[in-house]
Amino acid sequence: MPNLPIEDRFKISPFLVFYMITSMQIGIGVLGYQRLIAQYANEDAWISVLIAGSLIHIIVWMMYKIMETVDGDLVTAHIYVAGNFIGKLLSTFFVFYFFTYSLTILRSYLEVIQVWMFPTMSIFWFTLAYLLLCIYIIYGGFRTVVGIAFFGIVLPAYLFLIFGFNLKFANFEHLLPILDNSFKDILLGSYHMSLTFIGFEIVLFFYPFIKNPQKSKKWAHLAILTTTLLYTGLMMLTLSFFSEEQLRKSIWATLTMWKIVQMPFVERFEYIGIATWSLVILPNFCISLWVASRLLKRIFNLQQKKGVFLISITNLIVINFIDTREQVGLINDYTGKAGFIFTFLYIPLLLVMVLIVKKVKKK
Amino acid sequence: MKRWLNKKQNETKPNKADWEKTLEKSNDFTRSNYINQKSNVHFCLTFIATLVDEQIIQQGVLPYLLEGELKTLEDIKKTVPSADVEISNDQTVIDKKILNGYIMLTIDSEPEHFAFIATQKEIVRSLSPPEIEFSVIGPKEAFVESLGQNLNLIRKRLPVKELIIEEYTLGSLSQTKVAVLYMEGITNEDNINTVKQRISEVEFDAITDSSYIVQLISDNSNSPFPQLLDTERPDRIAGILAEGKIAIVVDGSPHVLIAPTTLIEFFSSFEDYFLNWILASFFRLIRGCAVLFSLLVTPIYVAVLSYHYELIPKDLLGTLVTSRRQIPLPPILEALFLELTIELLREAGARLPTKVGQTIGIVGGIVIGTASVEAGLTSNVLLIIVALAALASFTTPVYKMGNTIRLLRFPFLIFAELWGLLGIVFAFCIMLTHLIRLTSLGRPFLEPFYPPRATDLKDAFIRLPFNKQTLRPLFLRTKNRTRYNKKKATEKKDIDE
Amino acid sequence: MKKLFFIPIFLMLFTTGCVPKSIIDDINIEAASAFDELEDDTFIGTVLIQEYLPDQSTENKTFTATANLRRDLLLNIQRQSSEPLHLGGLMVTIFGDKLADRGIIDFVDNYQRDPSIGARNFLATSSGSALQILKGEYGPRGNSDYLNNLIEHNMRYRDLPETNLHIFIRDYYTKGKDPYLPELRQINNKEVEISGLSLFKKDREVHVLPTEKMFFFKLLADRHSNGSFKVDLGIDKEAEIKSIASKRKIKLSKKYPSQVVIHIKIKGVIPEYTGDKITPQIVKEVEKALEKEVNKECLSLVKQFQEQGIDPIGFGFYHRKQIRGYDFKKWEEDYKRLTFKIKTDVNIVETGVVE
Repeated sequence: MPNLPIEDRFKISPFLVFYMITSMQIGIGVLGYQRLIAQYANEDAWISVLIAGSLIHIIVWMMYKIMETVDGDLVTAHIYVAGNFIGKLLSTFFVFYFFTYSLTILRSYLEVIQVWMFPTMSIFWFTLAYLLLCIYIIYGGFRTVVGIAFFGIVLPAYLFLIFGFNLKFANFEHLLPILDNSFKDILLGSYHMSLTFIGFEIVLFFYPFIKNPQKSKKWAHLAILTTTLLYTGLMMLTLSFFSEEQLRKSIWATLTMWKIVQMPFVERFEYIGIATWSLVILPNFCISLWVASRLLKRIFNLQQKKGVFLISITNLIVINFIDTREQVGLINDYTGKAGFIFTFLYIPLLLVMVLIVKKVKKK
Repeated sequence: MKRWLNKKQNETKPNKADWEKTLEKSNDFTRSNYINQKSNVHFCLTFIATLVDEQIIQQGVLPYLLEGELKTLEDIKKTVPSADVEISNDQTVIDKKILNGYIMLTIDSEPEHFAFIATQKEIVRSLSPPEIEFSVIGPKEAFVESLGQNLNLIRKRLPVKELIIEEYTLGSLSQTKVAVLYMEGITNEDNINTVKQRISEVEFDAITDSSYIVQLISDNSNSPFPQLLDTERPDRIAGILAEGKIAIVVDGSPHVLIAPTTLIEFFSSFEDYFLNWILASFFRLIRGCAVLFSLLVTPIYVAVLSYHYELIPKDLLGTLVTSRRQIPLPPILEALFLELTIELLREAGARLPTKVGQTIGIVGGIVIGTASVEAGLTSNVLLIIVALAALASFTTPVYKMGNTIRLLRFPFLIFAELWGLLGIVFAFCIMLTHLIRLTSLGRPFLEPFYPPRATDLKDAFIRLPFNKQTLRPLFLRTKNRTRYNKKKATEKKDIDE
Repeated sequence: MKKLFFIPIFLMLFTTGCVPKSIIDDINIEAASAFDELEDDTFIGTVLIQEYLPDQSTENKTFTATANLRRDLLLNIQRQSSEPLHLGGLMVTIFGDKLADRGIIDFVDNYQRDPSIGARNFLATSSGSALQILKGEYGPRGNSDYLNNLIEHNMRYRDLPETNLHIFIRDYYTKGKDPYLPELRQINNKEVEISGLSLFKKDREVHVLPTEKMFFFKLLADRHSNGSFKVDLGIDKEAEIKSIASKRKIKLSKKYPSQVVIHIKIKGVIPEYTGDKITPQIVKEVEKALEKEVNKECLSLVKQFQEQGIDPIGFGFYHRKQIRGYDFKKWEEDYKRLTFKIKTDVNIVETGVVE
C-alpha cells in the first residue's frame, strides 16, 4: 500500500490551509452565483448564503474528525472502512469528481472570456496553454501548488475593493423586508450555493501534507468564515445594486457590477477584472488536477508525473466537446450537485461508518 | 639585478622532474645558484621572476641567505626574517608553490627537502569607491581584485573570532582561491554545508570571476533570475554576514557573492539601511513600483491598443488615436521596434568607453526618438512609455536583476499580443510559478511573500526601524535568531515580545 | 531534447491561437447614436463617430441607415463605414420623440445584453428629431464628448437627477418604479440644451417635466450635491441659494399605510442677496420661504404623477419594501388612494464672505 509518510520538507504550515481552502472555494461560482440564489430566496438570498456557510462549518468539523480517526486522507478512510479493494474502488469516483470539477472550472471561465472579451477565443489553445502552466506548477510539488493558491488569493484581493464603486449605486432598501420568503425557499437557495461553496473538501486529500494538522483546524474554519462573510456581503451588495428582475437576467452579476466602475485612468474595469480572474481560477484548476493525480497515485500507484499528464490530456480532449452555453450550464449544474452530495451527504455518512468501524475494531 | 640572476643559470640538475621540464619552457622561470659566505654551502633558488617581488628577494631574503649561518635547511627559519617559510619533502607541491610566487631553496646536501619562502608580488589596485552600487551616504570603499585585501576589508568590519574564513582552490587551470565566509554560531549549518559541498563540487577549468561561481552553483541555472546576489560593498557583506548569510569571495573578482538570497534583496539597495526608515521604505516602494511599471507598461500598451480600446478613458482616446494615426505598424511591432532600439542603445553604451557611451545615449535617445516619431514609425506616446520603462528598469539596485527585468518584458509583450490583458496575466502566472519554484541554496526564493513570514516582511517592501528588527531573517534558519540583547532593548524601551 | 517539443507547440499557438484584434486606429469607435421611428416598425438610426485629426481636433462623422431591427441597423451602417464599427466607446444614446412614445426597451435591452457597452452610458430623449442632434457641430472636442459632458455636469451640479444605462434598466425592472431620462433639444446647429425630463411609464414616455420643475423633482427622486435655487421674498428682495445639498427619506406613515411621508433635508449657502443686509432674521425668512415653496411644488408634482399613473419616485417600491407581505397586485388601486405629506427642512449654513 503506497501510504508512505510525507517527508517534512514537503509539508506546509498549518495556516496555509486557510489559503488553500479560500482559493479553492473562490472560483468561477462567485462571478454569477447571485442569480441562482435570488431565484429562490429573493431579497433573503443573503440569509441562504449565511445558512449554507454555517452548515459547512459542521461539515469541516466532520472532515477533521474522519481524518483524525484514520490519521490519513480520504483513501485511508475508505480503506479503513471498506477494506483495500472496495476502498480504492470508492476512491476512484473522486478521480472523476475532481476531473469534472477542473473541467467545469476551466470551461466556465472560457465561457466568460468568450462572452465578455474574445468571442472567437480558441478553447483548444487556451486550454493547452493553461494545462501546460498547470503541469509546470504541479511538477514543482505540493508547495508550489500551495504557493499558487496563496497568490491566487492575495494578489486578486484588490478586486474586492473595487466593489466600493458599487456602493454609490446601492440602495439597501432592496434587502427589506427581511425574512419575507418561506424557509423552504431560503433553504433551496442554500442548496444552490453548493457550486460556489464547494472546494473546501480538498482538505480530505492533502491532510497528510499538513505539518500540524491539529493547528490547521482553526484555519480551516476561519477560511470558511471568510468566504461565507465575503459571499454574504457580496450577495447583499448585489441585491441592493440590482433590481430583482434585472438580477434575474444577469448571468454574471459580479461582472455586470464591475461595468459601472470608472476610474480616471480606466474607463471600463470589467476587462481587467476578467483578466485578473484567471489568477483566481488557476489554483482552482491546479488543485483539482493535483488531487486527481494524487488519487491516481494512491489508488493505482501511478507516478504523479504521469497521472497529471494523463488527466491533462483527457481534459484537453473532453473540453472541446462542451460547446454551447446549455452544455456549460449543465456541467455546472452536475458539478454543483455532485459537490452537494459529496459534502453534505457522503461526508456525514462516512463519519458514521468510520466511527462504527472504529468501535468494532476496538472490540 | 640581471647580473646575479643570470649568473649561473646553465648549472642544472642531471635528471629533471616533469614540472621542471614544463616550467623551463617559460622565459620567466629562473634558477640561480649561490654560495653562503660563512659556511660555503651551495644553495639554489628557483622561482618565477614575474610572480615574485624582487625587492623582497634582494633585501629580505638574499642578504640573510648569503651572510647568515646556513648549514641545513632548518637554519633558514632562523636566518630569514620571513614568517612564511616552509620546509617540505613533498615533490608534488613544488610546482604549486612556485606558481604561487614562492621561491624554492634547495641545498645540495639535502636533495630530498625543499624550503619555500613567500615572496609573492602583490599587484594591488588601490581602493576605489563603488561604481555599480554607488551610494551617496555610507562607506565609499569597494572590493578590489585581490582576495587578501577583500578579506581584510571584511575582517576589519567584523573583528570577532566567530567570523570563519574557509579557503578552497577551484579551477583546474586557474587555481582560483575561493573563500567561504560565515559567522559561527549564527549561520545555519545546513546552508554552510550546502555551499561548501557545491563549491567543492565545482568542476571547471578556469574561474576568472565570481559570476562563474554564481552560474556553477546556482540551484536552477536555466532561470533568467540571478539566484545569488553579488555586491562590491564590503559593508553590505559585513551586514549580511551578521544576518546569518554566507559570503563567497573569489580571488580576482571585485564582486563578492551572497547566499542564500531572496527576490526582494535584489531590489533593496544597501543605502536603504543608511537612511531613516521612513525614507528608506518610501524609496523601496518606489523601486518596487518602478519594477512593475517597467515590466508591464509596454505590454499593457500593446494589449489595450490591440484589444481593449474600451478601457481607454475618453479624454485619452483622442490623444492615442492621433498619435497612432500615421503609423503603419501594429502596436506590437511598434513596441518591439522601440524596445529593441533601447536595448541597442544600452548595449552600445555599455560596450563603448564612458565618454563616448554617454554621447551615444544622448544622441540615440534624442535623435532616433524624435526622428522615428517624425518619420511616423512610432507614436510619441509609446516613445514616452518605452523610455520611462527603460528608466524604471535602471532603478533596480542590482545590475543583473535589471537585465532580467528588461529581458522579461519581451515574453510579456508577446503574450500581450496573443491574448491582450489575459495574456499579460497568463505570462505573470508563468513568472510567478517560476519564482515559487525557484530556490536559492534550497531556501525559497520568494520568501517572505511565499512562504509568508510576517517577521521577515519587516524588511521587504518596507524597512522598519532597527528597533523593530531584533530578529534575524527566519528563512535563514539561523542558530541564534536574536540580533541583539532583547533585555537591553527592553530596558530602554518597552518593545517586542 | 524534451524541451524542444514545446517549440512547435508555441509556434502553433502564436499562429493559430490569436484572437481577432481591434487596433484603435483601425476601427471606428461608435461614440454616440440616435434612433427614431420612421413609420410603423421601421426606424432610422444615426451613428456618430469621432475622427481624431492630427491637429488634436475632432471631426464628427455620422452614418445614417434605416432598418427593422437594431442589429440590422448596425449591419447597414457597417456597410457605409470605412473601418469596422465597434460599440465599446458608446457614451450617449438619444431616442427620438416618436420612438420614446412607442417604447424603447428593445433598444435598452440590447445594450444590456452587449457586454461591450458600459453601464455608465447616458440615455436621453429628444424633443424633435434625435438624428439632427447628432448632426450638429458642437465644438472642437466632438459632439459625443459635448453631449456627454453636458449631461454629466448637469447631473453632478445641477437639477438633472442621476440616470444612466444601469439606473434606467434598474428602475425599469423594479416593481413599483418608473424610469426617467433627460430630454435634449437642439437650439441651432451649434447648441443643444437640456429641455426637460422625460418621465416614463414602463418604457414609454408619457410626460416631459419642464426645466423649472426639475429642481423639485431632483429633491424627490435623488439627492442634490451642488444645486442652486432662487427664492423670491417680495419686492426687490431675492436670494440665491447655492451649493445645495439635499437628502430625502421616504417613509410610510405607521398609522395609515396609505400615507407617504417624504422628508427632505436641504443645506445651502446664500452668496447673493439683492436686499440690503443679511440678518439672521432674513436667513430664517429665506429658509421658511424655501421650505414653503418646496412643499408646495413637490406636493403638486407627486399629485400630478399620481394622476398620470406614473411612479418615477418609486412609491410602489417603498410599499413593497416597507410593508411585510404586501401584495403588489393591489398597487395600482392603492396608488390612486395614496396621500402625501412633505416635510422640508432647510438649513442655511453660510451667508457669503461679507455681512
